[in-house]
Amino acid sequence: MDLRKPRLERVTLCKQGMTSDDLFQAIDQSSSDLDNKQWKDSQPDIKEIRQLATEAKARRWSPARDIPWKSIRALPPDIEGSISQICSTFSQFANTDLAILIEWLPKIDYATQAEKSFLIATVFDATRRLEAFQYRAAVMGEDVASTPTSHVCQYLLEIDSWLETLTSVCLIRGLFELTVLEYLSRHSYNVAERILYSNVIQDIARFVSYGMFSTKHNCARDEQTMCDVSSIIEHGLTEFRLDLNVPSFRDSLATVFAGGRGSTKTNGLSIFNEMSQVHAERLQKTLIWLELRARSTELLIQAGNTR
Amino acid sequence: MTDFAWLNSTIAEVNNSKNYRDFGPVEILVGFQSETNCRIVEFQSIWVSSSDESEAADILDRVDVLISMSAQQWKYYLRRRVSGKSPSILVFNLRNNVLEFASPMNYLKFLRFHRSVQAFLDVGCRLYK
Repeated sequence: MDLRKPRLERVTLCKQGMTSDDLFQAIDQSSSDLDNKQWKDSQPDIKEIRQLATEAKARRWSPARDIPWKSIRALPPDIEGSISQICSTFSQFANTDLAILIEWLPKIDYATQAEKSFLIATVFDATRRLEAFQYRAAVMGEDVASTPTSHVCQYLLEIDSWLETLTSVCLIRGLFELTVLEYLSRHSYNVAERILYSNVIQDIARFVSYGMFSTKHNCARDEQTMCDVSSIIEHGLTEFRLDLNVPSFRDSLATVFAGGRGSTKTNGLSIFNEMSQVHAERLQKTLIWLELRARSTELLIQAGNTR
Repeated sequence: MTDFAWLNSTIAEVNNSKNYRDFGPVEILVGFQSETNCRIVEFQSIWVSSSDESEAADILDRVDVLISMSAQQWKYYLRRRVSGKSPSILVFNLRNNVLEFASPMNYLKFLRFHRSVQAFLDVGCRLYK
């Protein structure tokens, strides 16, 4: 019985034949479940999370103040259009993060103060990301292209457990975002983009670190959780492979990497494929570090080989 | 073999730099390696300090990130960085062995603080002779 359901609903359950003993038993069971989920202050991980929360507040940045937007000069239309498309996609990712955090924050009442504090700071990080990418997408007056709904984003919004959502956001999408942003940083066209990508990398790396602490902590609890996390990653990777094949995102990245469309497009696609391979290797290392089952890594290699 | 003497003057300069402090507090241990010559630089809060020369054998286990280049590569990177021709250290994380991490958590830690590490190197390349 879910005690987070409104009181009225619980009374209805009693009317349906539950005795008060059943109800108290359900309360005891639920409390012990919450105890299992709860992080104790004495655990070393909580110190790390407290540090992440402090760091998120101390290293925050402002899109209006810290990004020299005026350094952006007119680029050829194909490159500008591609950057606009990529930034729209990253805005969509940030929007999904916001929706997830806002939905789950009131529900994870077993979270410690340090976790809540960190997640609230992450809400602000996601808002900044959304604002900055939307601004970059439209700053040169480019018509912002409609972005196809990401399969992974859709999948993330439909998961009905916080642990599974967090694991998927961090391991499936977060690590990929970091790799793409590192490549974009290498192929950026002005100071504003370089600083924007660097700042966003810092924010996402913090969130992914938190996700990995949580996943490691929960997987260490029991074998069943580890199996659940493995299966959620396998399912998420299937959706991720669909996203990797979306032509608008792939071609936009290839155009930016190659410095324009035309004869160098093949070069851009080969850099895109290299990037996918780098991501696959990193995810593989991460899953090994988390001691998750090998089936995930097999799927991951298939995802990395997607062309 | 690269002489990491420039690290000492960089640390002194960075500890007096307001621009560096503007990036926010940092908690990371960075190893600098050139062949068998190693130094560990500790970034703690808004201060930077350095230990004496370290053993190369187990340095990766004692730091969060190890920046390892040959003497020639260090010279090339620092000289070109000061004239704005070299990329940020972040780019070295892709498809080459300049940056090394003992675990994925250390890789993420580097990404969390890479702007401060880069600011430190940017001061260093100005002081490098």
